[in-house]
Amino acid sequence: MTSVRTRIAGMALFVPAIFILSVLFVYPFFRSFIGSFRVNNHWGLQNYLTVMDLYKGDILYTLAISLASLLILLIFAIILGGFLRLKQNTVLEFLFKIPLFIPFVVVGHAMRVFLAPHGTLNAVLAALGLVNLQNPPSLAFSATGIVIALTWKNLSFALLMMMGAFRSIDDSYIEASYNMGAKSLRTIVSVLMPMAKGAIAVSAVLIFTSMIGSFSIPIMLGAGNGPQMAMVDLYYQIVYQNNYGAANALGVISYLLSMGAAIYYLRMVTTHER
Amino acid sequence: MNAKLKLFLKFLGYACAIFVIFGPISSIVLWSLAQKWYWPHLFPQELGLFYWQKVLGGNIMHSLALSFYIAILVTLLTLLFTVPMSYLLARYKIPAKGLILTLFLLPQAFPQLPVFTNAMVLLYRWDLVGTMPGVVLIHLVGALVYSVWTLVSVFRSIPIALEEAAINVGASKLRVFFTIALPNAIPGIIAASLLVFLYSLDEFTGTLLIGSPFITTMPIYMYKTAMGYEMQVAAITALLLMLPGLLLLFLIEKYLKSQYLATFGRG
Amino acid sequence: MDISITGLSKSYTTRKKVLSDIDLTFQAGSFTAILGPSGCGKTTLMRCISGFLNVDQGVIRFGDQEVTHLPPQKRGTAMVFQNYALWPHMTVYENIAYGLKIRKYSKQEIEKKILAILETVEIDTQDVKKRYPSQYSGGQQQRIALARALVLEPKLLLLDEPLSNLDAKVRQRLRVEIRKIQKDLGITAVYVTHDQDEALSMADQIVLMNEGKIEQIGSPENIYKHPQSYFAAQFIGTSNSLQVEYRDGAFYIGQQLIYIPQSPPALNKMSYDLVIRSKDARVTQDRELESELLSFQGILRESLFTGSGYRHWLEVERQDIYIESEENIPEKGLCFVQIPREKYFLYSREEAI
Repeated sequence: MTSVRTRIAGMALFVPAIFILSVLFVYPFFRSFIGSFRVNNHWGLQNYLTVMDLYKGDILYTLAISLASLLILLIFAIILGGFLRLKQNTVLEFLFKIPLFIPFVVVGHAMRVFLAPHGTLNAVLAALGLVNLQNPPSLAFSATGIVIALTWKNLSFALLMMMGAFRSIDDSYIEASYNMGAKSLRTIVSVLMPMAKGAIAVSAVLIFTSMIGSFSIPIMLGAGNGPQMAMVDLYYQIVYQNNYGAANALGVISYLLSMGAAIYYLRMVTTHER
Repeated sequence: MNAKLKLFLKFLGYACAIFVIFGPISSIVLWSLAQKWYWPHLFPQELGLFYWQKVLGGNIMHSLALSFYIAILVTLLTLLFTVPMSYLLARYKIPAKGLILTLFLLPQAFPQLPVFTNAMVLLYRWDLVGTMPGVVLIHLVGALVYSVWTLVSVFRSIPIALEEAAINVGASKLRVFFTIALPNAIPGIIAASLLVFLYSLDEFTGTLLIGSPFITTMPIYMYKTAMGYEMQVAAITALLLMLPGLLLLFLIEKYLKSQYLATFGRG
Repeated sequence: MDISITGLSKSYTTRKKVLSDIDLTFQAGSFTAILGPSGCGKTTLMRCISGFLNVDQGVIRFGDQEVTHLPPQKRGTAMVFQNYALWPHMTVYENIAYGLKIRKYSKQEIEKKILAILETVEIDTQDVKKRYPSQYSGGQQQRIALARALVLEPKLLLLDEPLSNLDAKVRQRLRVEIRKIQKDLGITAVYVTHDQDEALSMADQIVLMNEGKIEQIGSPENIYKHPQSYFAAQFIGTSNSLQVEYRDGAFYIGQQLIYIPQSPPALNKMSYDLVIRSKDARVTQDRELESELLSFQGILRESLFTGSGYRHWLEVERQDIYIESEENIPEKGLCFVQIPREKYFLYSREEAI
């Protein structure tokens, strides 16, 4: 029914976006696979051996930080999201949306000064008598600092996902639970959580992936020496060592760790189109 | 539980939430005003706007203008490339539609840095590293993806009967798009462009790789000053950088559906 | 101009046909209701007529012109949608003017036509240039949608369950008005609905559909009084059906022998469905022996007061039926059901036992 000319005009509308994405994402994406197996113009696994040799600890460190942040976020988001579902509170909801709108680098810097030995956190804790400022603990340039910053930045995302899932649960289920005499926390744990377990799993996967790929926060908060997160290692390999092979191998490993999210998105497309 | 305890707990809850959210932000506010702040003082010895005056008169203004310029350009290009395309994706049978949608998901699913380092190699070849077009292009990658997903769902949320009613009374497909679909999609398009604008304004990873050393947007400027321990300058830059996002949050809170937000703020 | 459909078939997937072998004629100026349960293909049929769906087989003609493969905008039909589909970003006036502008009418003509049609559908013309559809009630919105369709003087007006989102009172009123407007304008109309009252009260012709096929075509009276299939009988009216068996030269409900004056079937054992409308039967405590009545016994379980009368729940040979009548029966227990001869319908099951 549609004429050939309209068809061609229609297709032309797709060209710019698809071209940009193919050239600047898809092609580089596959290039990183190829590059990871190239050593001095030969094929080989040398890059992976180098990465394993240098960064095995760092990869585990990345996993540990991502999992720790994820765990904190899930607990936070389920409990706060649950309470907000049971009792609407627009103030809190709005408050916890703020981190989403603060740029990563700003979060990185804010955490540097907030968590520094004489930063605002220690000042407040000292005022409460919890910390001795003569010998203040420093959280800024440590694993804990990174976990706090990543958690803080992802608060909104985790909460939004959870609220979305909880809101789709009908009020009557909650009322039934109250009616049986359950308290709020019990309702959250035994009604809301099981009914939203699919959505919780999806948020977990997405949050985990974004943690693995996080770069700006770790580079601003990482310790000068000691373990680094994978993306920071990758950046240093490029900038200081100019070793694209090793960087790509590290990249491919990060892709593999992100497979969960990739699978989720693929399934989303297939269900979308059915 | 008695009423007093309840009130106290409620108060404590709010206090905690406010501290969690504003604690980190307050630190940079404090630093931006600190004219003199030496160890081991808990608060700056001298507060003032000295650094604000100094910074706002300096080359930060150049970065600010550059950032806005890039963000506006990226937003306009993104709208141009994605509004008609998203409409077609939402409404018509397109060959290889699944493949196209998958293409627009990849950047969401995988870490950006390793891909962008490879994109950098390509852009080097074309002499685009360290140039405006290079930075705009790398911003477009994320912006396009974000925009397509938002807009496809915006167009899908318009009842198809509205368009059928127009076709039924004799409107051509082009006319239906401009007189029915587009006007009804305006709120969604505005939301999408604001978020794309913010994305470009805040973009760090791609700009660091592709823009350096000549294109210093606000996030890069902030990063450099922070790493160079220019505490006050970094703090002021950070605050300026935060402002558009917060403004956006306050202004269009009610328009932003959480489904649009869910894909935002990653990277 | 008559509108005819011959041999129309449509399937979404290769396996199942949504429409098969539809043959239909809509006479010029007539009002046809396409009636059927949800999923029967009635909406698909309408979308094929309007051109929003391509047909697999068959021919659609508007008068002498074949329109089977014409795009919707070239068919000259006008649709009224279930959810009105008024454009929310345009004023009421702009909504109605839209199609006229496409047809390049002058401003004066447009204004004249719009005012006239709004009068027809009884919408106050005063501030239609300022007000948006959302400022009107559901019933008024549907009138506006009707005006938008009618202003183009379509060859065929298609209405897709236009009243199903409205509340009962508004619905009753709009039925009468839509019918009146259609008659006054002499326009050919096709009305898709799942509501039998709507179809029976509005239409000249009813097309009863089930599972993608036409079950029966006829006037409302004809459809109601002479249902030609089991489906037609039990879909129209509030009906009960009882299993009846023919064996040893007689008809039985369970163990109960009943007298049905019908020539015996060829086989000596057959299953039948007996359909009885709730309002057509009587429940009595004494059996009147009258040859004009079909009569059998049952046990009265419960009687519910319905306002205008009573609804009696009876058990007949382990099958439940519901009979409505004006009089109450105070004593539960054994009673009799009696139905005039022309008011029950017997259909043989396809497979013989």
